[in-house]
Amino acid sequence: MENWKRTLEELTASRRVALKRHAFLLCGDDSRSEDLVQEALVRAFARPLRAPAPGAAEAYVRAIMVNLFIDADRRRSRWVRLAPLLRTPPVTADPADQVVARDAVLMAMRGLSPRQRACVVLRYYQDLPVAEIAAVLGVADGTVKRYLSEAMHEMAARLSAADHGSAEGAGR
Amino acid sequence: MTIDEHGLRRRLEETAAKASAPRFTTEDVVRQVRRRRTRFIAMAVGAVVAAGAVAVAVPVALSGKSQPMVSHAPPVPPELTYAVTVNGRTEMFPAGSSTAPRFAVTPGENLTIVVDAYVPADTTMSAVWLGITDGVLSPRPDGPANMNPILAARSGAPLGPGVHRFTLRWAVPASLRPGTSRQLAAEWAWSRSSPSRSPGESEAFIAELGIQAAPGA
Repeated sequence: MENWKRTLEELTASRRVALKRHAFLLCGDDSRSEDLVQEALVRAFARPLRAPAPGAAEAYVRAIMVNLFIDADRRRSRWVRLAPLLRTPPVTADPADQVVARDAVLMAMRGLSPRQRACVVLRYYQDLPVAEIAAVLGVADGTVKRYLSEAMHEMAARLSAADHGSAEGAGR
Repeated sequence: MTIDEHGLRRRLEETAAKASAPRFTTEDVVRQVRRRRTRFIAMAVGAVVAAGAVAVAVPVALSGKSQPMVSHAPPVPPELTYAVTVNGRTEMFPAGSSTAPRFAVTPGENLTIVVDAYVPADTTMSAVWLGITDGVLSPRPDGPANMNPILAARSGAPLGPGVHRFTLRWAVPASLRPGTSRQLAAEWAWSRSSPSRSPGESEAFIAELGIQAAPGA
């Protein structure tokens, strides 16, 4: 069996749930996170001479996921800016979206920029040190610290508001 | 307003766990990778073929008239071995070596340089120039362009295989600053000496003359 195939099969079999969760936190959308994981896996193993080594495959796929998410968000926001008249609201809500709508953390993360969001996920979900986050995003350590600081400030305000709202709702 | 990092980690874990189970299978991903790889290889092959086609088509188009494609390899210089003696100290500079021997000299010193050049078998040189350069090699069919002074020149009779001795004299200019250097260079020209060797000329540094401060200076 080809080496890349064995690595990919082992990674997908054992870590696909973890990868999906990572993507879910980034996107905040169940179906987009499904696509994101698959695309990252395919990109990681598509280049014949650049397939990752077994030990480094998961980190490599996660890094690709983060960069794909940031790029996709940039493309989408450009499109949304250029073609506002073509936007149509979704007709049928995905059941998974109801979960998203109820989750305070995801709601709070929606207020962050894609890079801030990636920093939060990599730092507080993946437990990566700042230097590694900077390497994944291709920015300076100081920039990551700034993103994290801004993101934490924003999330604290939003989570606090959401927690107060749910406490008042429960008290009624 | 601050946020408890430990609490945030826990909440992120809880939120991540709300993601539904992945719907894709390993086979799906392997199939997609195979398809992408096939496309990537096809593109790479296409790019190589296109580059090859351009490499052939452009010279043909620019040549103006149809000509048979004949490749002309640059002339291969014969490899010579040198023994260089500067004021009685001899250093060998074998063929194929990349670093010329270094001699320390002082400003104003009168040098006697003996160069024994070993011309290999099956090789005949049509001309030779020996002299001092300032780091620039510029061989030309009618002699070197950046050799100053030229200390020896021989172009009358061909030099066949064997040892050829040249005795040179050079006074190191008093104006040269310690820490700088000059090079003893040799330029050779050869006519066609074998079916595989076209005529040409080449130049090489055969000794490095490092300028040092005179004792007591």
